[in-house]
Amino acid sequence: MAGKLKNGWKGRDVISSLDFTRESFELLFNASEEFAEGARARARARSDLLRGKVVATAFFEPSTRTRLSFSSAAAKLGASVIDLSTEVSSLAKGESFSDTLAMLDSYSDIIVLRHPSEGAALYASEICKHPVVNAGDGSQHHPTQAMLDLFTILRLKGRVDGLNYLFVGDLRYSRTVSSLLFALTRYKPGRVTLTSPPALGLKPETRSVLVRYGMSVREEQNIERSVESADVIYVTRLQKERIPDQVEYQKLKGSYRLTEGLLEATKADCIVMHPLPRTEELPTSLDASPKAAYMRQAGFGVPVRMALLSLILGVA
Amino acid sequence: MAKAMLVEKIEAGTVIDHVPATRAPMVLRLLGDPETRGYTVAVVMNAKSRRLGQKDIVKVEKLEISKAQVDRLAVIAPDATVNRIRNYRVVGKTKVEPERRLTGILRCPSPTCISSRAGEPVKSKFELYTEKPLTYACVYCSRQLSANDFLTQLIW
Repeated sequence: MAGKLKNGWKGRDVISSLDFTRESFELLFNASEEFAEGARARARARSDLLRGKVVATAFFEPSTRTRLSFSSAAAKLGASVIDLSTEVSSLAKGESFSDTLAMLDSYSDIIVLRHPSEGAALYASEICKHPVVNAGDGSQHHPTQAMLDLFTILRLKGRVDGLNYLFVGDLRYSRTVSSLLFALTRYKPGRVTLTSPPALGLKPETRSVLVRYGMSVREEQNIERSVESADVIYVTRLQKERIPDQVEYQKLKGSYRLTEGLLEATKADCIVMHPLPRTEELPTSLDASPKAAYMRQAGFGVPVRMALLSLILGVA
Repeated sequence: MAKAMLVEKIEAGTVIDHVPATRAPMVLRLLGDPETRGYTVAVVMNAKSRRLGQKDIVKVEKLEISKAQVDRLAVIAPDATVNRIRNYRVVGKTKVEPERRLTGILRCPSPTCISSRAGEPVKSKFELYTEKPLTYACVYCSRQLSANDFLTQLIW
């Protein structure tokens, strides 16, 4: 298992947002800033930073942005990427997860893992000697998404502290919501409001962690009322793949939506974030609004993950 | 007339008293099934108890148990008293204090937790979450278990 240093990044696993201090986040964001500023020139100048390193990506669940932004980040830094294709590997022959991880560990310098089971990344970190980066496991942790979300907020709002946050949508099964809430426990946010259909409220486990870290959240069923004071609106889609009852899914489908009317009711400098992909909760008619931050947010995935890989592999 | 003892005193070993009624087999399980390893074991079940109404008592001859084993009993017998016996006398009493981490003791009930995954050599791990009331949280998925859950989730 890789080491877990308090504020240091070299050689550490990335399992949960809760494993990091505010100082660790700030170190990451400073490094991300370097990769985001004048990205093209900077990337050319630093394209050999990870030369000779091998980044393994093992995605046991579908992914577009996370997988591609990790691959892009590694490629921009000169690392080689090996990708475990879960459909055509020995997993299809029934190989265990632990055997697969042990093999990947011997072939690479760092493992980026996504898995449908909660705790898969922690378990992987117990098996692997090299650092494991959790690219989403189960419905609780997606720490690198939380990091790029915080970076987005810093970039577009200039600060994380003191802002009013509104989370809208499937808060029960969305790991991006719980990861960002966990990360916000390291800051001093203003009001944190949760708006979701009753069946999709925060899991008791997630709420309990927030209580333990002294973060108060308030629930507001009425989205009209909750948008007005928000500085950051974080919308998530209905997590169809994690809702066990598909009859329930059909009932919940379309139960919330950020409309143009709601967007008009927000503060002039409010930003709307979404981890993407989106479905009907975030209509494309909002994309032209200067408040729509989700595509910029997705774009920040690359510099943040460049910084993350560099720091963990000890070259930043 | 003096009351006859159901089970004789032991010369040396361990007596675990104030075990909630009917949980003696679970105590033996958490002690690593000493009866299968040649130890002489005596169990009294549903004995009268002023404190508990009814209680179980477990006696294991020639076995002294570690503090960690004592503390493991917290999930099923939080009020138990563990007496160390030498020369037929009680030479030490230990109260149960919950262990910080339980490995391979409780099964996580979440079907989506990695520790529930069939075919993986993964041991369940729980960390103490709160002492009063006693709750443990799964290290992998954060699922919390409380006193009522411990009995159903004990790995036999």
